Amino acid sequence: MSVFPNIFLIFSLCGLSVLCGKKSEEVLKIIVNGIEYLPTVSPTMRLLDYLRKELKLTGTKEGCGEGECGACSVLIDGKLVNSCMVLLGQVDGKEITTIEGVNDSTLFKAFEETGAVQCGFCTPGMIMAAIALLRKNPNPSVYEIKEAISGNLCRCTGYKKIVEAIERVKRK
Amino acid sequence: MWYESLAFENPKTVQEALECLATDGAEVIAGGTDKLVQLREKKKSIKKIVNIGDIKSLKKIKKNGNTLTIGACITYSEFLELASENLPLLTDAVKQIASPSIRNIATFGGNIVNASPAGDTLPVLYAFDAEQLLESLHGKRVVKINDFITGPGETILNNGELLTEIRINIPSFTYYYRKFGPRKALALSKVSFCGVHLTDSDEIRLAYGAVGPAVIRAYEAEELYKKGQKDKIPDLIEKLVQPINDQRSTAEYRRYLCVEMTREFLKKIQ
Repeated sequence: MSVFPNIFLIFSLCGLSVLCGKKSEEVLKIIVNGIEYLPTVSPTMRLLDYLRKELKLTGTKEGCGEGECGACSVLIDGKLVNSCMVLLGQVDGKEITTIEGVNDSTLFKAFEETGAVQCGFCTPGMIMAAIALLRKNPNPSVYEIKEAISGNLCRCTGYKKIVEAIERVKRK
Repeated sequence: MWYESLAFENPKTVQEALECLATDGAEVIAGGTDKLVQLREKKKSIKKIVNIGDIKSLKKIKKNGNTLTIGACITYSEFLELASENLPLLTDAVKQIASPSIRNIATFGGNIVNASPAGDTLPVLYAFDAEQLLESLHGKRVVKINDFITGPGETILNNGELLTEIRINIPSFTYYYRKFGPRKALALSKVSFCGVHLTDSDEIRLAYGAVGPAVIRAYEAEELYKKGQKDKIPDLIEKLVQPINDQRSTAEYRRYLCVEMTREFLKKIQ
C-alpha cells in the first residue's frame, strides 16, 4: 500500500534534483581557434587545463599558475588574458585564440631572426601579447611594446631581443 | 584543481545572482585574478562558484554631474577605454595595476571586496570617500569605503550580499599619486600614496596604501591643514602610518616614503 507513494516520492525527488542541478550542467559552448567546442568537463576547470588536457593544445604553457608570468597567455574575444586565471564557465560563448591559432609568419620570422627565442617557454605568451598589441596599435613605440609584454616573463634571452623582434614587425 | 568538482552558476541578472548567493557555500567570482589564486587552498565551506562577470548591468559606467558611477564588474581596461578622462587620478592608479592581461579581466568590485591593504584603486577611493552599493534579496544599502573595509581581506559584506556599484563624488581638485614597487609591472605596492587638494574649499585628502591593515586616511592631518598648521603634518604622518616588515619592504622604509611623499605633495600644492 505504501509502495506507490514512495515510488512517486523518489521520482519527484529525482526530478527536483535534475532541475536544481541543471544550471551548472547547461551545455557550454566555446570557440577555440575558429572551431566550436561543447566541453563536457566541469565549468570550474581552468581554461588552461581544458586547452592542454582536453584539446591537447599544449602550446599554451603553465608557468606560475597565478598570473605573474604570462606563459599561459591567450586571447579571449581578442583581449590578452592569462588562461590560468579563468574558469571554463567564464568563457562560455566566447572566442579563444591560442598560439596554435596564430598564423603570423612575419612575427614568427622576426622572433627567429633577432634571436628572441632561447628555451622557448615564454615564446607563445610573448607572441600572444605582441599580437594583442599589434592588432590594436600596428605602429607601437618601444615604450608601448615594453608595456604590452610587461606581464610576460622571460628568463633566458632577456627582453631586448623580444622588443627588437616586435619592433621589426612594426616597421614592415 | 580541487574546485573542478564544484558547481558553477552563470547568472545573467543581479536578481538571479542574488538568488544564487542566498544559499550556503556560494563563492562569487568576477574577474577571478585574486580569487583563483586564493582558491588554490582548498576551502571546504565552498560548494559552488557564482560568476557575476557576465551580468551586463554590472558593466556600466555613468557620469551624472559630478558623480561617477562604476559598475562592480567593470574591468580596468574597460575603465581606461570608457572613462579615463573622467577621473585622471584614478586613471593614473589603474594604469599601474599589474599587467595588461590582468587589467583585461580584473574588476573594480574585485579589488574592493578583496580588501588587500595594497589594493591599488583603494587609496583613490578612500580619498574621495567612495560609496559602495550593496544588494541582497533583503534590500540595498550604501556604505562608505572606510566603513566597508575592516581589515586585511575583511569587509562588512554579509552572506548573500553583493557589491554592485561604486559611486565617486568628484569635486574640483588637483592631485598627487605615487606607487612604489620593486618593478613597474605586476609588483604589489610597497607603499602607495594619493594626495588630493580640493581647490574650491582649500582642503586636502591624504590616503596611504600598504602601510596598515587597511588603507589609512589621515583625517587628523587633513584637519591640521584646515587650521593652517601644515608644517606639523609630516611629523603626524610618521606617527599615523602603521607599516610592517614583510617580504616586500621594511617598516622603516615605508614610513620614510610616506613622510617624503606627503612633503612633496604639500610642496606641490603651495
